[in-house]
Amino acid sequence: MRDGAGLRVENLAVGYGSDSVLQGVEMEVAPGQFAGLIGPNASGKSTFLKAVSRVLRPRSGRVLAGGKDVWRDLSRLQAARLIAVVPQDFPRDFPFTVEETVLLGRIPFVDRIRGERPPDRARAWQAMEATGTLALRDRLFSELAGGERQRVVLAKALAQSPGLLLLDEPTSHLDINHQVEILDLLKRLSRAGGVTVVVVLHDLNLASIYCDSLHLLAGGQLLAHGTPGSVVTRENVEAAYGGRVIVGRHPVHGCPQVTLVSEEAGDGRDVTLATGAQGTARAWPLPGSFRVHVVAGGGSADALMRNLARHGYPLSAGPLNAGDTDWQTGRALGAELITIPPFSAMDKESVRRAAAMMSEAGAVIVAPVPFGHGNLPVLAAAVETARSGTPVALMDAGQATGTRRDFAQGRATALLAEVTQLGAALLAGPDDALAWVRGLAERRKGIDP
Amino acid sequence: MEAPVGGRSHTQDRPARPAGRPAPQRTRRGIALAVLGAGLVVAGGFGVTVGSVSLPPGEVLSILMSKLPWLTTDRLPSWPSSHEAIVLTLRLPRVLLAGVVGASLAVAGGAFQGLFRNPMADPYIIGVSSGAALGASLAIALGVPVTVTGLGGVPLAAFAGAVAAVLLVYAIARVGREVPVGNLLLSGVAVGAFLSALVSLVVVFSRNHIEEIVFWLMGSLAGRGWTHLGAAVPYLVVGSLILLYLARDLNALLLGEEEAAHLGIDVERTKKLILGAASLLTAAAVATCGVVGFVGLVVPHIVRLMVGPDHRSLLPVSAAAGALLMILADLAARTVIRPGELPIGVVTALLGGPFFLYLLRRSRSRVL
Repeated sequence: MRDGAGLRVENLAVGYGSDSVLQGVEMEVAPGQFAGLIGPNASGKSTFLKAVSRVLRPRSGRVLAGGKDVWRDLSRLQAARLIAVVPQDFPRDFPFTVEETVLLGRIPFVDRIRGERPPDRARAWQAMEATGTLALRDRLFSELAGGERQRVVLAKALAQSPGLLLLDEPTSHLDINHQVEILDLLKRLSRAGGVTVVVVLHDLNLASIYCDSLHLLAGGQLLAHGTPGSVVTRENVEAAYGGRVIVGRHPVHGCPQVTLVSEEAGDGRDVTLATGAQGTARAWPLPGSFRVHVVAGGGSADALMRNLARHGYPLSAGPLNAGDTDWQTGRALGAELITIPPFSAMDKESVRRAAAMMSEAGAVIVAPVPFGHGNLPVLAAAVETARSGTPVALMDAGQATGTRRDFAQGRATALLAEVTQLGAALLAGPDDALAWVRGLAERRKGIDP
Repeated sequence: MEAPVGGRSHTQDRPARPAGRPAPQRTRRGIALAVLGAGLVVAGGFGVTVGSVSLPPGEVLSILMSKLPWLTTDRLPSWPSSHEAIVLTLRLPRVLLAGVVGASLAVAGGAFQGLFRNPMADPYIIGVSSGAALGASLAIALGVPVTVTGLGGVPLAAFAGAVAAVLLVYAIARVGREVPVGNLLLSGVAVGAFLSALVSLVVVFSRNHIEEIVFWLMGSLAGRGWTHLGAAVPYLVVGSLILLYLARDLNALLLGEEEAAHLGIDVERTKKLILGAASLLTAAAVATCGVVGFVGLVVPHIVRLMVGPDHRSLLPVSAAAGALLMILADLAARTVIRPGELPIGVVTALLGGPFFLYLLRRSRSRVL
């Protein structure tokens, strides 16, 4: 296999007739990289691939593959020797056998009179081996199952020995196991073979797991590009797609994972939500508008954080021990977390950062967590925050003043009493907390629009 | 029917085929061509021997051999000169013309089916036959006295009508520099229907020519000789060669036009070439022997069932099979109701239809 050919797109504009589809799109993909193209329907992803694969001539701008302008420096045939495409729709009833289908990928290399030579068949053989379709070679393409079919289409593209492989939603018709199979295969190919891969993906979560870089198109323009962590954010996703999402972290890979939030579906608790349950659509706060910092630990804030996130309030929490239940919930909900090592006490630096985070938050809620010497400093910081005027509330008022939470010889009780005196709200549960936060947020909106 | 999943496990379960061994597909093509070639020799032999006057095969062979320039003919027995005339001026050109026309219709049909990705396509799909029919029926009805190098007015008018119809369909279907095949198909059908209506009008208004027009429409090789063969062959040979040259591109077009472009093919140019070559082939065939149906539709399907859908096999084998079917059909047309003649189009349909249905039932596979 050849080395990967990098892709560079400069100021690309493409359209059909009088309709403009893409304007001013820039992209840079290094050789051997695995790049993802994401964006809502009709954002111009497929059109972009057409301009790169030399099917649809751009109105302006340049497309450079392996340093060559595909429209000016390369002939049709030369482009086909460099760039292979896995299309979104491949005729299901294609009447050839698997091997014959894969051999079609050799067309740009084969003399039309002499036909395929042994090296061409060897290349097709290799492509079938790489995609695990060798055993299917004498079967009819039209008789294959969906996952097999997609592997054969990929083998055909690989038989073209491309330096740049473009794929248009290669997993959209597949089960989740076959999706992972195809993407794993592509990942291996880009790593081992050095093929540069540019793949259009519908599924943002798969895209952020697999891609080295992501390019987000919306309305024909490049909205964001960079690492999955910098592109798949709540701001970008909601701006491009609309809707309500929470962007958390993948529990294993650590990359961003988008969770859709429904206005209508329940939240897995037995308690009926006081708000929204009546079907009244509430406004979804702007991302980053009114952050709530939660002082928690040991699962004491699980329902609280989920309820706030469900209604769109950005969260921060900590310091929390890595692996703690509340830490995991916060991570899944995309909360900003201050993380300390498991089973260790809060260090000064973490507490200082938590204090800064609290002072910048719209509100602070102290969950019904027991306090000992290890986590007492954050409670002290919360008291300081309340003193400086930020709204602070204590959850589970029934226990808030009790002594059962105090494992610090009365110092926690004293701090809790102090914060109550400073006017902290006493909240009965997650729904109460939501109502309190909502009230504050709306009042804030009234003050500075 | 779930097949093994996973990338690595099943690559070792069969030994690799040596890369140099020819694909089974080519072997099948070789066998098919050899069998059909032998069939063509036999059928051609019957074609020149059998007829209203049956001649002894040995004598026919001698007559044919006497015309081969590199053979000394001194020791051949003699034969009546009327027999020589029957073989050389009546039967031989007719057999050759049947073969060439059958091959052309089959190749054009295969190419149109591939281009349109439609199993219902045949050489007449874009109006060639209706245009030719209009030209021919007008020439018959008006009695055009023109003769060019021995060709009568009817074939010339038919050829002109066919070419004009294709150009019209093409002009209607074209959008800028592109020719979408869907447009071609629809405008072909519409123009064809319109022209057929005009043919009916001509028939209605020229009652004393009805029989002649109808017989022309059903196709016949009666009375065709070397002149017709000579006029048609250049188109038929050049058209067939162009289509054979583009066989690989037809394969790619089966994937869809965009996929073909990804393989480096100039799709619009290739489509125009295929369209032009297949139309010329069909126009020349129709002009010489009328609208012979079924060959162009059924032969490619039969051949697909034999050698698969790869156009590099499909087109040459279709040519041989089309020639064979046409020679046999012509033989039947002029011998079954001796001394009368059946229209050859009727015979091709009667022979080809049931055979195709039999194959279809037996293979139970998809047609295209």
